[in-house]
Amino acid sequence: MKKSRWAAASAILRSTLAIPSSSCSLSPPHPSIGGWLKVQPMQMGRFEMGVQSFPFLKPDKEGPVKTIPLHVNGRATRVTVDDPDMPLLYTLRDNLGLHGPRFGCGLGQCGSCTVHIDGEAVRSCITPLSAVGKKKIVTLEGLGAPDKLHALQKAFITEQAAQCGYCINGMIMEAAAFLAHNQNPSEAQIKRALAHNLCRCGTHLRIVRAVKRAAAGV
Amino acid sequence: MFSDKPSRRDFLKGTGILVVSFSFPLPSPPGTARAQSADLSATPAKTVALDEVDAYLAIDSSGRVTLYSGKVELGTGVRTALTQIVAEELDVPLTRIGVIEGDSALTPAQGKTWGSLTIQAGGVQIRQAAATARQALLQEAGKQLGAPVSDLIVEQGTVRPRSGGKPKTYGDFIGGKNFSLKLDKQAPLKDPANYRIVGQPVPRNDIPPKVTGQFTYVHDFKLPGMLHGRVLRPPAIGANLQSVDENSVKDIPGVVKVVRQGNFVGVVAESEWGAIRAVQKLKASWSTWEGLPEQSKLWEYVRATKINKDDVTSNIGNAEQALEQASKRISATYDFAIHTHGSIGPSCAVAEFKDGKLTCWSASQAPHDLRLQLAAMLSMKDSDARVIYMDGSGCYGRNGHEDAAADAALLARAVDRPVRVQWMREDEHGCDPKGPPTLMDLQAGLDASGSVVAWYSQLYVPEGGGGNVRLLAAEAAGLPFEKGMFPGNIINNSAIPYAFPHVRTVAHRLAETPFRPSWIRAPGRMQNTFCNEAFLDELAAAADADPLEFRLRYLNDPRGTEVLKRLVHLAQWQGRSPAERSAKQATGEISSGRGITYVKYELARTYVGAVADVEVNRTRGEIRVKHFAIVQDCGQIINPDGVRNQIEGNVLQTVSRTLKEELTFDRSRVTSLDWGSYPILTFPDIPDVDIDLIDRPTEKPWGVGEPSSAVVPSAIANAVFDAVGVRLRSVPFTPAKVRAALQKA
Ligand code: FES
Ligand code: FES
Repeated sequence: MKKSRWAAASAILRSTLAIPSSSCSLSPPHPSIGGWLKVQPMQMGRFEMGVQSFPFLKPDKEGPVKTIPLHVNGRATRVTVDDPDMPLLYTLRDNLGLHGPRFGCGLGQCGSCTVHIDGEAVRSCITPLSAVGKKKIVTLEGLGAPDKLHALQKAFITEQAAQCGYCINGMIMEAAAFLAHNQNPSEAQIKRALAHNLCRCGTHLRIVRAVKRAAAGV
Repeated sequence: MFSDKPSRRDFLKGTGILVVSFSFPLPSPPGTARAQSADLSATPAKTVALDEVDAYLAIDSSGRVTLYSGKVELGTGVRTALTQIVAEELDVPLTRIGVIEGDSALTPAQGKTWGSLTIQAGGVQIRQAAATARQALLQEAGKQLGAPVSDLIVEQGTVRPRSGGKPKTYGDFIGGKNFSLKLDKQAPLKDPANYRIVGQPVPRNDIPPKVTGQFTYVHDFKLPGMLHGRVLRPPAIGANLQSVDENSVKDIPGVVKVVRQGNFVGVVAESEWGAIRAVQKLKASWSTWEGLPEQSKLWEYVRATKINKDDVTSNIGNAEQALEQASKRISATYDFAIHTHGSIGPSCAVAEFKDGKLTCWSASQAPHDLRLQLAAMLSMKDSDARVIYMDGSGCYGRNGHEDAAADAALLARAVDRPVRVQWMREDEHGCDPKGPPTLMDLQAGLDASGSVVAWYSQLYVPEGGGGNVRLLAAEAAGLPFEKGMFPGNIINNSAIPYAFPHVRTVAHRLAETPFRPSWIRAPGRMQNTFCNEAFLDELAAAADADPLEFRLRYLNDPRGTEVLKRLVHLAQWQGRSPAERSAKQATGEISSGRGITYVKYELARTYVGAVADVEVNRTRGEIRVKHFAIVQDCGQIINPDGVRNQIEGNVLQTVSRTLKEELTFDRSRVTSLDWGSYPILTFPDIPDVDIDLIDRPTEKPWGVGEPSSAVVPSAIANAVFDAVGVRLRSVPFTPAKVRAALQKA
């Protein structure tokens, strides 16, 4: 059971470039990208790992190590990894110290790990680092910052659309990519757009209200 | 009057964990103040005694208040609600209060965050601590300002004499000192008529950092030098580890150690991905074990399980005799599947040993109890272990957090470095403790006029109550743990709120259950309410009575009656005659219906009434829950938006459990290991929810985290009957079961 499931998961990993959220063309990253680099004193510790490399890898005895350039939240950076097929999620979280994308299933089923790649909502848990190339990655931190909230973030706060909040990264990132190409969505369209994002707390009603609010620009 | 030693200042200097929240002018938002290693040895003793004001509250010289809460934020908004209680009782602005939760070294052990008791029990303790503190502060203020207490005006944390004069802050009276006071049960509470903060929909302050990626969940917590661990699960629950081939992972970069102790085997690696790859590749051989019952024969298995004792939860008159004499007898058997918690973020913990002492960061709902469990597992002194709560993914009971903490502690001890363990999805679905299978036989008798004369129910559930569910790592590694089953108090609500002349409700407590049991939201109360309220609906139909009117007939409880009456209004409930129902049911492929349900939680607190509207597709057997109307009386409401959020969540989560969820397993282990094999409700299928809250500001505040979930399964079952005339008595109501019921009808 275990082996076959993992085999299936890694097959997805190898073959998948990305799961597009909607059939949309490329869109420019949100103008507020770069927010995550504006380190606030309180959160200084979060970036201790730096963006350059795995400080803990020992390339001398551990085989080939690859340095991969990435474009994240408006900034070019490089990460050094031993496995270029490592899912993007771990680079974002463990190397770049980003907390927006979250591990939920690692199987492309729940949406907690969603980021934008060239404007499309993508499951970073099944997107190999090697597949990203020069494409531009935006995470929840890059979508908007506390002092410069994205319309969706604002709407989620207004609607108090969270319980534990663990799924909310995926909800906002999925909805942001969707709204970028669907100006005036109906409630049913919003629900369809979020159909592959799971929430266990049952916050769905508030999430839909928040997306509607953001879509209406109120 | 306030004591000087040890001073709050010294105390703050001694502990890294508090520095952030005190060195910033405003309280740090939740989830940002914890990113430091806590040095237990440097922490001077702070009282955590339940009867000491200092256990709950501290006020620094600037007047900033810190609330130390043993109850924790599991996603229900209680951090905000508890802050409101303190702000109200002390007359301090909300923004001047910071909260430290669930730190076994700093917060009082107020019990697990469970049972919808955070506000009802924990909040009431905190309120009394705040009232005691306020009384003492005013006495001191009176002395310093030379005015009688009755002449003092308190506003926003400042005190001034009515006659005029410069206001002073609480910090001027207490700052830098301890209260050194016992909680005073007589300390006067504020008159609810004067409330300005309690009862208001105060926004949660953890939501802005959560929607911007600035929040530090336990999953985000890092320590210098921290390694990553993963645990290899056995291919069968009772399998023994025979051998581990360490060479199988030697090609994976950064593997630090393969840790083996008894049947516990884990890997520790420098990087998270390294640990994941290693646990995937690690070769181990295990003995076979096929001790689980066949899933298709689960209910035969439950029925055949040895009964260790009977709990009689109510006994009025002589139900068995009255049944025999009744002119009409009805009986039915209900069952409710095994469920998993299914938190969206798998369980996670970080553990660190320093100088022989353990600190563990965990999203456990019971940090104080977890500390004792970890200490017992590792044969340490209780005082050498500390558990610090950090928010996790939504927790609806005892899920895997405690087990992940034990995994991390064992691995950290083995490598002598801090270790973070985050479970994989299959660990969470496969290894969290489960809500046990529930079976109930019901019988009732009606007299010639259609009145209920007898009710007799027999519940089959595992024995045991609340407690400390055994830690997987302790069991696997052959280390000490508390034996026994702890499914939660699952016989609650097996007794009924209706005044029938003869009632007997018995719980047969079983010696075993297939999976390690624990409590999941409204444990037992949900299952028992499903059985009771759906069966009651059968009786109403047998008596040709409107199900709402039928309930009112037997309810001797004015608050319950008011809930149902308001439900008539909210749901626009209209009685249906049997003829109207059959006419309606005769038409079309898709039939709609509505069902009603009522609960008084544990027959002692929060009242909920619900009406569900459903559509049933006869061909496909699919149920669509379109709408829920909920009326709730939870006494005094602290935060109405928080209450609504909980009701919406309860309804949606339980619609999911009722329609879709069922653990699958073979003879060796759980087979529903992901969201594909254990599907939950998704956006296109969510119902709308209308809510009417009855606020009773002068009553006790009761819990809201669970009660409105208990009404959901029976409301749906009753609505399906209204729609298509068949009874669904087995959760989940899958299309196959619906089709089978329709075929039989
Ligand atoms: S974590 Fe990526 S989809 Fe679940
Ligand atoms: S808010 Fe908890 S999973 Fe969605």
